[in-house]
Amino acid sequence: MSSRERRRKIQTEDNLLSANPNTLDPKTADAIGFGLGDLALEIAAADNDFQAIEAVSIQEIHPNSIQPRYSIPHDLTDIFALHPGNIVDIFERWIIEVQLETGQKDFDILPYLQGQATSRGARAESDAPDQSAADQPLFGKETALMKIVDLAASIRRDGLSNPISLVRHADHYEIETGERRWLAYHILYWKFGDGDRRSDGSVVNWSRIPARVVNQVDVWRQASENNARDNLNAISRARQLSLLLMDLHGWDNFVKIDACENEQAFYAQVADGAAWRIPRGQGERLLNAMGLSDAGQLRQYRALLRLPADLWRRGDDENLTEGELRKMKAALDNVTRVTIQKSKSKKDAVARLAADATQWRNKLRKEINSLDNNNKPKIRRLIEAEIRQLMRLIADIDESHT
Amino acid sequence: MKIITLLNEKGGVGKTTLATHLSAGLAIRGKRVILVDADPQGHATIAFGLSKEPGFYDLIVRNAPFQKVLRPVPAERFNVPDEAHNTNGQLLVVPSNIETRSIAGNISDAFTVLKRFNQLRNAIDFVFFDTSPTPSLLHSSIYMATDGIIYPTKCEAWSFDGLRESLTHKDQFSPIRQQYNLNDIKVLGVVPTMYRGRTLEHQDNLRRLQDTFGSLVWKPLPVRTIWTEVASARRTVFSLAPGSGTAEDAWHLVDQLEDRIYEQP
Ligand SMILES: Nc1ncnc2c1ncn2[C@@H]1O[C@H](COP(=O)(O)OP(=O)(O)O)[C@@H](O)[C@H]1O
Ligand SMILES: [Mg+2]
Repeated sequence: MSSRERRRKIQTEDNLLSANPNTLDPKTADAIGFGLGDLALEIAAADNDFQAIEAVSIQEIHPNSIQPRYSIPHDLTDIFALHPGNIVDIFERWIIEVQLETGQKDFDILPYLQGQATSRGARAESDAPDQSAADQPLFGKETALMKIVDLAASIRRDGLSNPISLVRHADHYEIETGERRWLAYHILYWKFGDGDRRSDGSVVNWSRIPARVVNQVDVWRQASENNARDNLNAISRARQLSLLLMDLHGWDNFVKIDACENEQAFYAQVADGAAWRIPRGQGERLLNAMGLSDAGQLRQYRALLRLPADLWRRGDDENLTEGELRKMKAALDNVTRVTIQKSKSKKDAVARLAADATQWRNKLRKEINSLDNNNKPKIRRLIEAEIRQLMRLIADIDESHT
Repeated sequence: MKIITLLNEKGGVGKTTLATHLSAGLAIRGKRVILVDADPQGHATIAFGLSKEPGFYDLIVRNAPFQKVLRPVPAERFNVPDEAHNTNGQLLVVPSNIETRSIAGNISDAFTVLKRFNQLRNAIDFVFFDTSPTPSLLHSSIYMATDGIIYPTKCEAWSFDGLRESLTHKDQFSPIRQQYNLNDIKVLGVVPTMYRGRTLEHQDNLRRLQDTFGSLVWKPLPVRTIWTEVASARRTVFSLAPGSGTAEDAWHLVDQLEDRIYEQP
């Protein structure tokens, strides 16, 4: 075909192609036969997931009460509600507990945040459930704190590469994913405020965190984010499994977490595998979301929902593995069987508990007194919190006494 | 999803021609492909008979949904005529116009492009970026998202300057990418274009290219007048002259790309 013939042919064909594809979005294009099929739907779904990133005030953000991972040790959240106004108090208290726990009176997080010190790296990183904190059980609070401090230091150094996701409510935002990144921003705002100048010369305001606002908490998105970012410990995985099961069975079937006696009771609502079976055809999805490979493992994690309360908390704070928890539960079952038979008086146990508490409190008081005087208001707050905790303890004892 | 960028800080070396034909070739072979026109001149947009509009600008600066900016290319425009009806793959274009020039001044960080295209990582197999010759912050953002780079170059001594420039720019980004745990950008090929095999100058320069870049250098794409016709017909050579030697040359480019993408490191 000569060049001229070809050109003529092109012109006529161009007329045939008169539908201007330029005016069509993929859906319309599909309708008139460009054959985009599933692709148009997949693109639409990706668009729905995408939301513009906003800078949201860290004070307007509240944690999600059913986030499976608990970033802060339980005895701190027992004293201070996990509320944006309490975060600095929590960290102050936490630092003091680390000082007590490790015996390093001058322990401070500032050098880590400034990059002058590196955290006892491997130790802080190793939250893979398999390398349990068992080899350093005394330093549980330090490890958990340094994980957040390390995160804060890396955000200060490199920026936040992945925005958190939030759900908008009438007067606040709720975290869908990114509780630890939000805590890290609190630390950075506490220590550096707004207008912080980074080593590369850029200036950052830590009072606001980049966030994507989503329509509602999606436990499946939460699960995939959790699996991608960080290994969850066994208790967190049990919580995650529980959330996914509740989602599969419908949330209307379950009591809300605020109405439950404690957080474990909320998740334990699906502990009964016969009552809350994995719906047909959902096994694969559940395994994928949990990052597990067989149904036996699902059963083992589900069984954790029935752990005794103290073991549940200890497992969470010390990152114990599913296997460790299972063994401890078995051992405990044996022991309680024996002690229930033997126990002469419950009173003795209660008295011992009270004595322990007093001793612990006195030790803490002494440590607080030894802090320098510049920290007066901080000390007062600590003591107040201390007294509150003690009163709660006494109330518990009274209750179990009667 | 693989993101591939056509790059040379020089105009008229065949970036757009390669971008349109590599993306069309993979789409014909069943892949889901997006071609992003990142050049304010909008040549890749009009290459498929689409009209220029601020698609890329809207996507990056105004966070427009993909549905609003993606334009499907009718199979007749890019596929082999008799087989247009049984294309399994898809070719979509993010169009460009002069507004693309102001993207650089409006993006907040170097990860903007990466973040946007990451959304489609499960839906799309390949994304090609056809870039403009003038380096800007937009180029940095595209580099950040890129898995592999293809450098088309003419075989005239002066075109190598642009190539050398581009290669040093690429190296600048590698420490930053490492910091963010991204793989190093892979150079998928240095492609000699508009090659005149009979001239000693071109032969010499091809040899120099091969000495410098070794097996990265693809088989040269010979100069042919039909390429200009292809451009003005707003189609691919696969669609316009399916049986021609030039169509064969173009298929060979697609083969070489596939070889390099799927080869074991
Ligand atoms: N192998 C070739 N032989 C002849 N002309 C070519 C060849 N490759 C590209 N062209 C033509 O050269 C011009 C510039 O090519 P183009 O792909 O637009 O380069 P760039 O995008 O680098 O500016 C276009 O008109 C194109 O049709
Ligand atoms: Mg071009």
